[in-house]
Amino acid sequence: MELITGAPDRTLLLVLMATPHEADTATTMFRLADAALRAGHRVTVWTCGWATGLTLRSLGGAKPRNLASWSIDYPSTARLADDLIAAWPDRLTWVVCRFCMYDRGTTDQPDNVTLAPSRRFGRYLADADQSLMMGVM
Amino acid sequence: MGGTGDPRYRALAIIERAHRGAVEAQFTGPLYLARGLGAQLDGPIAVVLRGVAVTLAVAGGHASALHLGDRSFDTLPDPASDIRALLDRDGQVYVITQDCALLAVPIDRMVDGVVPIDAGLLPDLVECSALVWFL
Repeated sequence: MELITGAPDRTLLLVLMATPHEADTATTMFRLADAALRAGHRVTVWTCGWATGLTLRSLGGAKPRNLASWSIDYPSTARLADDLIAAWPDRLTWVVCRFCMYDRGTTDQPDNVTLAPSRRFGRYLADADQSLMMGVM
Repeated sequence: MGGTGDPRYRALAIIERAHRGAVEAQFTGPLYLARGLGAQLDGPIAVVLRGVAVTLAVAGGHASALHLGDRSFDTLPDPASDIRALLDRDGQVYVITQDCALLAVPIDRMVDGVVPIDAGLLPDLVECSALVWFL
């Protein structure tokens, strides 16, 4: 993507519509976001549908223990998102679609994500220099 | 492969889908499930990888680490390791040769011990298994 290698300080909107555990879209989103941030850009992640569940506080910081590898710490997606936000507090905004959050019952969201009404999507789109919609809700 | 007498396998797990969320699943993929369920049986389990799932048996298929800011996570799926764990527990892992060919996955890149079979043998495998699971 040209944005990642081009002039810095641009805004990338990553719209994650894909349902977790269906494909590797969320992994791709994490990798893209980190790459864009490292290149000096701003990133807004907008999650819709079940993707709003990636940041649930109820996931805790780690996945349940791996019965075959008891001592390994496997981070939850909530922790991965939290780490990414903590690493780039001024350049990354993680937005949870409020409509989808209520629709899917994924209401236990942390304080460092922004809850936005679905009608605000157009504003985030207008503010972005480039956008990428990932997956189908 | 005969269909009479005691079943050769307590369970036959058929896996057709793969790569369903590396950061979400990490270790909790269908191979982990097959291993966990198989451990509760009193007999061997066989796994058949079909379609894109044949890529799970490729040796060295471990996803690269995930970098987020200053942190690095190396706990993404390692299906080849899961395959070896199944084989170590006297399990059997098959891949469908036609699907390997379709995806241009060379048979010689598979984890040691994985057995390529013709798709036409799948009904025989079903017949000699007490349980059939689609995972």
